[in-house]
Amino acid sequence: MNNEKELPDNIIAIIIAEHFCQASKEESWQLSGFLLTHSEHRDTVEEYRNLLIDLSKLKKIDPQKAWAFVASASFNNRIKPANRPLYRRWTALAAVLIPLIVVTGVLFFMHRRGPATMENQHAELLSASRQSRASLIMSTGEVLHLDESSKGKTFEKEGARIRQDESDRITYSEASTVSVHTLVTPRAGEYKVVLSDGTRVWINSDTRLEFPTAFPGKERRVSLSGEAYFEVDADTSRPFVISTSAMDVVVTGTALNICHYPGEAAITTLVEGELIVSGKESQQVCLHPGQQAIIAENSSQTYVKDVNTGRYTSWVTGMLMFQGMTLKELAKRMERWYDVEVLFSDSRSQQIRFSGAMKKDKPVSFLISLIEESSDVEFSVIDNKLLVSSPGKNP
Amino acid sequence: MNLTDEQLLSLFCQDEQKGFKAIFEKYYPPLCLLAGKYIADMGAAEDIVQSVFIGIWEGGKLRNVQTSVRSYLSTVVRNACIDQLEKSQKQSEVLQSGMSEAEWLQPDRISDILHFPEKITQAINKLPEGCSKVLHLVYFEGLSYKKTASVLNISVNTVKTQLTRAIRSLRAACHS
Repeated sequence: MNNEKELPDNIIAIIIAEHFCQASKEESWQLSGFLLTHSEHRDTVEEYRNLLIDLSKLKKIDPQKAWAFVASASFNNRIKPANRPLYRRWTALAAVLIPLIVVTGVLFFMHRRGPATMENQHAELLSASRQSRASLIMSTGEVLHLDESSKGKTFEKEGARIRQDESDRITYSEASTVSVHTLVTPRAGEYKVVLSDGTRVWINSDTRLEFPTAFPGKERRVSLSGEAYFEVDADTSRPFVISTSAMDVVVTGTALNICHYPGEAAITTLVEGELIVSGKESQQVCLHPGQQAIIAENSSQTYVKDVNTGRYTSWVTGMLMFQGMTLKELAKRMERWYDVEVLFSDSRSQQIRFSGAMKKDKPVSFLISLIEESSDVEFSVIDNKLLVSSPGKNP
Repeated sequence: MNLTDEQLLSLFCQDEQKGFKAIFEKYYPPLCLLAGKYIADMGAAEDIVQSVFIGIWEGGKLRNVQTSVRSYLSTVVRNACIDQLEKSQKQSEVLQSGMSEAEWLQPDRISDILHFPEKITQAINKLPEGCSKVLHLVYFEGLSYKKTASVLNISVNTVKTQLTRAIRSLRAACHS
């Protein structure tokens, strides 16, 4: 698959050395530099790192010992499950989900590396925070930029009357003709829109919502790429359909959250009412409140599970949450929430898991300090990007 | 001895304990690797796989396997891992958002993971002697590059070169 993208020998040598903790600072520096200038090779570097990790994991597995235990527990009928001694004790929660971040709401930096220097030099990058911003694109291609400054204004676009009734929301009244408008939020942006039928939509970062200015037909249909929360105006005679690249979600009057970013799984969470998830490649499922449907990327399977819906809709009311998430995954979210770029200088730090919750109006420096406080990874800034490293490997 | 799923099931029909052992021997390491994608700690991952096997034996589940042994086992392990992750979440009382990427492992990715131990073992056996010795000392024995170089009477640079060659071969083997 990646034959054209083979890495130079010296780079592979450094990746291997880092895995076995034999790399010098200069070598790690070299690898970071390589990644910065050759972003097309990131996936291949990842592959090598994962191969080495799996190799090491494999080494630890002792099938003989494990079989001795499994055989005695299985074939000896007198041992009841409740009394069975475990070969290994269930490790404490900390080992499975490490580490735990408890949010106190107080911002403080750990003075480990003279952060004052980093703060001052990179104040702008570190203060990156979320904003209410969006672009509205008419079917003609005309673009309207929306932010807090245009509050109270009314626009007439293609027969539709659009009022910015709040600093972070636009409301459509019934339109005389039907045209398609697209609301786009940038990274670190979010916005709200009330459609002409009264349906309210909260739109998260890096998201596109395409919708008609009026719904005259038997069906109300919109398209979504990214994440949005819908409170659909109840109308059983006119089902509301939210279409993403993987599915159509049909609702008659409900509150739901849909998260489907390109290249990721499509996750539909139902808070109230009823809906049907019709996967384009997978089977139809009907959800009841408290349930979630997940269609993995390129999958023909739709999984349904029971969830605590508050966890998936908290972003609407002001909290960003993550649970048992690897730093690699969390970094992806950071990029989307704050419009920053995050690079890793080693693979170990990517695998550390974090759980936490924070108010979404905090700047990215807050999240960085939370991560640094509860683990040994360190953040630094290179070339206006955030670099994550394990101790000892910092430039 | 590498039996196919069909052969394993037929062995199981003839002699359940023997068949169970054969299935365990074939699938334990790959399933631990799979569990390791969900659970950070390998010890806990192994616990889960062991519990899965014990549960399968106690419930007589193998008698009814319709799909392949491989898909059945990987599904049960996957579900057990997700259950464990969710149970831990409730205990820690920390609020949750989003899914960890590991939950969305695709069938062909799962297949890659399950075949990994076998492919790696074969690839390691095919390595030229120089590479193989260096890999053995650094990887299996955990020696530093310096120590390895001194034991084999070669330079540290040669150690690095041999390792690079070895890992390249292993990666190529996994892609085949």
